[in-house]
Amino acid sequence: MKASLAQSIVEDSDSRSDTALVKAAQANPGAFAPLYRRHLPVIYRYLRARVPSDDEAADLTQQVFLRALEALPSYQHRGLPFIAWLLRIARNTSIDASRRQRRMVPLHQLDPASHPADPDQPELTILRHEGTRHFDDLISIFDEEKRNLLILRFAVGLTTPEIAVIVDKREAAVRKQLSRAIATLKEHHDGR
Amino acid sequence: MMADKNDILRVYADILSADADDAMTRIVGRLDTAGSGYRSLQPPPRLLDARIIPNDVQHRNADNAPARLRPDPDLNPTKPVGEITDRRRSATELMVVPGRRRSHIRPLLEIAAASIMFVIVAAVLIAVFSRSSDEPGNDRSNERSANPLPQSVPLQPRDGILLSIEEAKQHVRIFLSEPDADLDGRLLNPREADGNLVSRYPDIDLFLLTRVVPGQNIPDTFVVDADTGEILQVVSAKQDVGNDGSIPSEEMAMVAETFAAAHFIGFEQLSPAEHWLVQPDTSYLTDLGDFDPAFRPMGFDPSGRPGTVLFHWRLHSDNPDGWLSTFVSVGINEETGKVVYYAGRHADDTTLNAPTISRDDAIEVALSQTQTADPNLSDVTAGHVALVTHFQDAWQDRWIWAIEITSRGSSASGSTGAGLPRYWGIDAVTGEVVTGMMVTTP
Repeated sequence: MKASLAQSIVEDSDSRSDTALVKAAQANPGAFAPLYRRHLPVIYRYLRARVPSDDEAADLTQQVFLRALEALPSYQHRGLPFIAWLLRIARNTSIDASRRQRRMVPLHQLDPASHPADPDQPELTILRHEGTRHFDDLISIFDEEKRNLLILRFAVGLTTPEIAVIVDKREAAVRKQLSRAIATLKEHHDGR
Repeated sequence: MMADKNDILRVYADILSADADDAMTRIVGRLDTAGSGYRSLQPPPRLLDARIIPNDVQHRNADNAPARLRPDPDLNPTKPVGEITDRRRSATELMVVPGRRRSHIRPLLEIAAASIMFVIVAAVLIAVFSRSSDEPGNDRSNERSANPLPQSVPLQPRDGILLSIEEAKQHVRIFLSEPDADLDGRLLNPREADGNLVSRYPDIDLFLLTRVVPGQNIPDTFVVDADTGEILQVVSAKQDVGNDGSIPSEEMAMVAETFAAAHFIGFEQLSPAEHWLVQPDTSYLTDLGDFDPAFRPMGFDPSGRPGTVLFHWRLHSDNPDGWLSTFVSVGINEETGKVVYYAGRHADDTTLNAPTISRDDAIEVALSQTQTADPNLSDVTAGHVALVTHFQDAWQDRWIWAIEITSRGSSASGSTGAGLPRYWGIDAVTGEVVTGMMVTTP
């Protein structure tokens, strides 16, 4: 997954294929499906790391693609990868949702009954929730901007150059922010 | 899952310096391990099984159906249809709009919320300038030139983390260039019964700050977005009266432009808005009292006093040809030539959906709405028509056709006058009626 994602973001070949798919979808909205399938996992993971439940992440994912689909006629390829455009929509959608809800409840504070576990693999689900809970705890000390970078890096699995494209910042700036965030975490835990 | 230190150093070399110590590596390792829970996630079946229904998009103009994602019955035939359709526009929300075959009208609460957002977004600020410059006899030209006030900064929202009251006060002091300004204030709770401003806008947290000015019965008021710190509204209660009579329009325009340029970042990108467009906007900028001054002709005053002339700039889009939500308005007291009102807003236009409803179709809906709302009207025609943005939910905008209607006759309620214009907002993507702004007699 990591390799294909990286390609879709920074390499010309996949970038072109995304561009071709976008053009096809602009001409025929029915051709949006390949774009949807290609980018669905990334968008879902990104949103899942930003909201407290699987259900909410799924709802927001749906909203992201609906917004993208409706805005597609006006989308213009200006060197920005399509996935970056989607992730920006996802971030805005997530922020809108949090504005409405205001209170973000960490996953581990939810009633276990509200955790939509995978009925086929309950052990895996529990382990995953433990992991995501720990991740949520680790990044909870940061503001939205740094949380966003950490989510893109560690929860979505993007590299610094990829993140730089998405957040429209220089690679060095992103690297510096991530390094500082990690240093902050280190100090935070040293102080405990 | 990653446990080996070398692996961590290799994978995260871009953010771990060569001399990263063990503690740093451990932190990155923990982030990597914890984050892997997300990286291994697969979307739920209801998303994986979804498919696009292209006809919904292609023929939206014909049947007004919105774009939807629906479960693919071929992939998952047992999945109930409609489970993952857009909740914002469920089938139960369809209503017939006269003049069209159908239109999507959201539940009343949702529409009300959209109108509310429309209102709130207006960032208003007053220019309560320095005390010394307000003394009688001061030269207004000096007042104009001495305008070093900092700009209103559109800060990034902090994703649910509200400013402190002290931070909000500091934003106002910076805006006023008065570091010692004595302000009082509080966070307005949407559930508070008082404060008709906020009780109607449940989705945004606001600070209401006040400054008592000696000799004034009413304090100056400042409304600050509690998320971003942006000054949303300032109303000056100053009641001074000029001695020179009316100020020439050109001079008022110069004062207003100078002030707007000094306070609103990106002012140079804005264009003077057509005046008729100001009126719908001011309905949300000035919703502070029982009366709605939005439909007063030139000269309305946000604090209820006559004699304020409003100047309005707005960000224009070339494609599509329309007016975006980023704007700034400045009100000038026509007797004193002073700024008594300011509003500004930096809007996010990155997720606007492209319009699909034609101008003519929108006019058709507006004319029909007018006739339905007041059958006694005659000679109903469309006046000004423009594509403008309108608040959808939270701070999310959408394109609407703003349509001015002119007519003769009177309404059954008697609240409208002959020949007064009516304004309608028609969603430029779905065709739904977003706002109906019937003009009331001032």
